[in-house]
Amino acid sequence: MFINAIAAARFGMSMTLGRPFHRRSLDRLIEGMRAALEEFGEIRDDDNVLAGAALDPGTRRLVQGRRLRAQAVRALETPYYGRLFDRLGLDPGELTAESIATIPVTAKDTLREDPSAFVRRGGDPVHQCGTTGTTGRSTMIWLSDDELHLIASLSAITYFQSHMVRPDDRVLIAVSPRNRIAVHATAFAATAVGASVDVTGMVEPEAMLARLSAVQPIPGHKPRTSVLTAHPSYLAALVETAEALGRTPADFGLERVIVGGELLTTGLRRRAARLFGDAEILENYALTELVPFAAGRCERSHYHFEPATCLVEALDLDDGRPAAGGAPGTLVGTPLPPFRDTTVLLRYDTEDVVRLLDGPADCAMGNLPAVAELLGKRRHAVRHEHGWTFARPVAEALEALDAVPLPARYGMRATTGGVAVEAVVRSADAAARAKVEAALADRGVPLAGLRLVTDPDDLRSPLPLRCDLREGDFAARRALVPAGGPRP
Amino acid sequence: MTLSVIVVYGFAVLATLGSWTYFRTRRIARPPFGVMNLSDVAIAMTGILLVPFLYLWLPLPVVVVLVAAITLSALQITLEPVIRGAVLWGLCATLLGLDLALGLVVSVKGPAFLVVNNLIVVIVVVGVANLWAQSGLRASHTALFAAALVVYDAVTTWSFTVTLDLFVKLTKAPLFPLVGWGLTRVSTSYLVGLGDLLFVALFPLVMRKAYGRTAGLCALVAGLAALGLVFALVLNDVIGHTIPAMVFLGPLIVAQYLYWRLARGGERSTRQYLRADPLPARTPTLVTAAEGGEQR
Repeated sequence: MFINAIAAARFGMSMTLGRPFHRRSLDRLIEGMRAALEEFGEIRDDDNVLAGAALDPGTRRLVQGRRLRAQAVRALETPYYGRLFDRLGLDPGELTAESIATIPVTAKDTLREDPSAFVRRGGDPVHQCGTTGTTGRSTMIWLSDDELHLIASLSAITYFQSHMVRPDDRVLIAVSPRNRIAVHATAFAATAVGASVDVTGMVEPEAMLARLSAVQPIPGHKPRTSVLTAHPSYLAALVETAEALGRTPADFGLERVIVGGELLTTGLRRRAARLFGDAEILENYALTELVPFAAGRCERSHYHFEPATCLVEALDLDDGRPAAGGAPGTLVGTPLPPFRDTTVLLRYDTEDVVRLLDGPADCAMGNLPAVAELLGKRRHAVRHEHGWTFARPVAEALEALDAVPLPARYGMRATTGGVAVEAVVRSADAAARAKVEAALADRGVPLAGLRLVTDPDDLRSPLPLRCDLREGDFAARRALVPAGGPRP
Repeated sequence: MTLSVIVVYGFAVLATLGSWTYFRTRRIARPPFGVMNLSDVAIAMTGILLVPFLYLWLPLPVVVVLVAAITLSALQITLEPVIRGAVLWGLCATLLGLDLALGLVVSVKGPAFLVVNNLIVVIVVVGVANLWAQSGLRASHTALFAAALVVYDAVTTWSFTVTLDLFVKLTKAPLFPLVGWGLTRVSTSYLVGLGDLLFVALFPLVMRKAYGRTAGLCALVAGLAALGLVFALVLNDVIGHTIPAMVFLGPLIVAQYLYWRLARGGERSTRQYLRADPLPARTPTLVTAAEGGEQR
């Protein structure tokens, strides 16, 4: 207890002074939480010794401005920002949260082309971690071992405090293993809590459903998988396959499904609830490049960000100025010290479009910055004569319909009068067309053309889905190889 | 002397029964830093080793200020689940102020001062015992702690004059962490240290948590009986006046722990204890309606 108090004080000192976190102190905090959970059977809300006092917006800007300056000074030690500041004649020591706009936004493509240009001299880059690459190629960042440990430790602390994972849970991680940070952090955090972990990646849905249904008694844990972490499109594929196989809630022991990395629609939530019964579906938002920055959803479905880890901006899609309340904006983030010191990014353009709140957040998490909703990737959005159409309304419209197989597969493009949409339906008949047109109209999509197909391969430019990053296995591969072995 | 022993023993009984009752009726605000474990015991033991020397080295007024700060904090933590708001702080300040005023203005040997001071020590014992027990201190760690204190107490009392020197210095000023009576004359004076009382009060709590009500009650009765025996031996001049009480209490604690460990096996966690032996419905916190305080 006394040692944990010192560890908590060291954590607080790191936050205040921007100094690197002490690795052993993080371990001690986690050990203390585990011991408390085992002894008392609960982690109380007031056990959250790491949560600082909620700051008023003015103080928060001051603190963030100070930490932004510190990070910008560190950025001078990277080849990219060293050159950039030199070219622009910028003094990072003079930056404030208000003058941040003097730094040009860092594009995803710039990082993707040369990740090493963002690595700080004196950093300790040992882990190269990539995104799944749904906007093209995978984007890589370098992290030190301490940073990766910090990210995993913060995940563990979140699990302890949110009760998202409990000691007797069996956690199945069904996200792409190339999403290394998510897999590592989830596995570390779940085992820190005491849960058992199974990392499968995204195997064929039939195989995954069999795994979820399997009863395998192991000491101290539930007999079946109780927590599933997955991308929404893979969850959708599971729901679709399970419905086709006639599975019911009694076939599963799932209690929580944690999803992230893609849009989760209301339709998918409803259809997943139909399959998994009372399982709670928890959604979070995080991305590799800005890790450990993350957002969680409140009871009003806002996405709330933890301001200590990252300075977040939302910029207008057309002019790059701060987006107005209620308007869409692209999310731009600057990870702050002491959370990141190997790959340093300033004003990184996530290409994720969000809709800002129209006023103050009137919810339980109202003290944290928030956005109203995630709208999808900017490069998947369509600019047309009436404005922008994002993936969110199209995906919401399609996945709400039983006529559309899950996950909704679709594409869209600008055309005269609005947006032309193509989508996969179960049966491309007039009834399906009428339903899809009505659903899109309800979501405010200015439909100027609709093409329905029954075969996903017939889509001309479908939006990528993470569920297509399947893990193969030898059994599936043998089925593709003709009897007598492969041909020479 | 007899009266002094009876009065001191009465306060010891009060501290022990008070801790026992508090343990079943009040939830103390345990620190949010995990569980009280062996490393905390080691740190506490280090403190016990060093603090007497620190107190002997520091000027008396500084010691009084230090003790006052610690006492105020302990009173507040202990009474907070019972009384809330301004009444709580008022009571803590009154107790502390009364102790200081009576000690400094009247006498630290007078009965009025001793009643107040003994009462404060009892409250502190109740609070610390419950803080440790409710923070998950295990019976095995308590037994280990007691065993270490046996050695410490025997050495510092019998081989050196540390304990006696400390008693002499502390009893010159208010807020001394001792329960005493009859201090006006050496022949009638009787004192027992807060640490000894703490172990008499603490061990029943951790045993109740670890092995159930019977184990807890046995520890309670055994602790008070052992203390009574020590007092009787002193009273009858069988043993000397300056006695390391832990030499008597420690082996009893260790023996009880070993017995229950052999009889019942591993000890229960707080969660298992509360599941098997739920606390009674909460008693409302005493607050004045005018303050609009929260009722628990």
